Amino acid sequence: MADQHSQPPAPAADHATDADPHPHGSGSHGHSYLHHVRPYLLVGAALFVFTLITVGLSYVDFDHIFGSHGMNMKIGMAVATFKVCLVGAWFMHLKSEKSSIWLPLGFTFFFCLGLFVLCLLAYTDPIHSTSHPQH
Amino acid sequence: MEIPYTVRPRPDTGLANPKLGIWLFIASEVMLFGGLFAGYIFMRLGAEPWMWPHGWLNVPVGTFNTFILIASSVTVILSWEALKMRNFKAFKGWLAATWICGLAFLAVKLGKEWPDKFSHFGAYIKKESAEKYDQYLGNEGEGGRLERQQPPRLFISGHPKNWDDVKNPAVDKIVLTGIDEENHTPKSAENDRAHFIPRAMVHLHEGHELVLNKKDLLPGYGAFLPKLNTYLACYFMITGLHGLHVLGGVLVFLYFWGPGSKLYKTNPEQLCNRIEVAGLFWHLVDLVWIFVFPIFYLL
Repeated sequence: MADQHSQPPAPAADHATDADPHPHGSGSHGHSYLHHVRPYLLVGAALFVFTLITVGLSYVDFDHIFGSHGMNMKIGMAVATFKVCLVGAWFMHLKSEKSSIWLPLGFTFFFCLGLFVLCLLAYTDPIHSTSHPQH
Repeated sequence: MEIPYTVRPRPDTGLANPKLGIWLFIASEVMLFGGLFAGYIFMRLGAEPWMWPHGWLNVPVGTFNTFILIASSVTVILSWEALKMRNFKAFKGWLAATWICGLAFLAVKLGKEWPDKFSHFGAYIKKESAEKYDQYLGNEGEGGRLERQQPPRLFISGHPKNWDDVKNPAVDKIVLTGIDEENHTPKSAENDRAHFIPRAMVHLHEGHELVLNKKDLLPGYGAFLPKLNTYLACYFMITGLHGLHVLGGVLVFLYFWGPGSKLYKTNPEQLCNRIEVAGLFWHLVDLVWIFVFPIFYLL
């Protein structure tokens, strides 16, 4: 890939001073392509591996091993959350983003979490009158 | 008229407008899918154990699709990096790989996974009629599910002799010429766990077909469609909405791969920003699937 690099066309004059919004910056052109993409390839490989781990773990009966109901779900969701963190931090560059992105995301996370908590609250206090017996 | 701050960051936010815009959009998408997942959890926790299926979906196919989406997340970022390095040829190549992956994902979903459901018959037996079909349900007697402290099985699935009989209200019986392994060997402990490789349907020879009386079935029987049970309703709703997002992403990438790439000649940095924004959306699509896969296929 690196040997295929071509010189960038001259940007239009009115855009020539546009700043690069990405943390890598436009000053990175001198670096090799492989050097830049290596972390992404490693994260991609990690995601492949953790997908296989997720599949493998789902066939282990953790509920029986730990003697607690829902352990498989908890472990599966923990691995999925870790994978999502990898995607967010590296592919979406959240690890180096500005507060103007973190702030709305923080609110979103808070309210999204609220949705799940509401569901769990409903589960602990079910409305029995809607549980009709089956025909 | 020139739209300001398409490339240069705004002084107040420190971000170019498209980037802030896509992140706000992503925030709204998180709430959308968060609501759907919360609804899924609510219904799953409230469902009776015999009602919520496990192991209905084809795990190797789902794993393959997961690999496709992860690969596409990598290729889109390689394409963006190539553009930043002003390597137009590599940019086009990686972007092509991205939309090809997206199309492959949709092809698997619409060409294999969903059609399999549409041609698969399933029916819940009423509790009071379960005894009549216990040969196929395996709840009672020695080695039965109740003795093994498993939730009762009230579901029979397979292939009907005639789909018209299923749909026609004037016909009161459904003849199954094939049944799933769970109903063929209902007392086997092998049925208590999910299988990585889907097990083949068992063909019933003439004279040994399974006859279901429609009066013994709960409403909603028929193909594996949303009306059959809540699990399938959630499955089609969430994977369908996710599929629409994949389609949207593919169309955007096709545009930037084709006519949209002309921007490279006049303003490569702006094209770079556009790819970054589209890529962020694509990563969201990947991110949603990372949760969809274990929830529906594995757990």
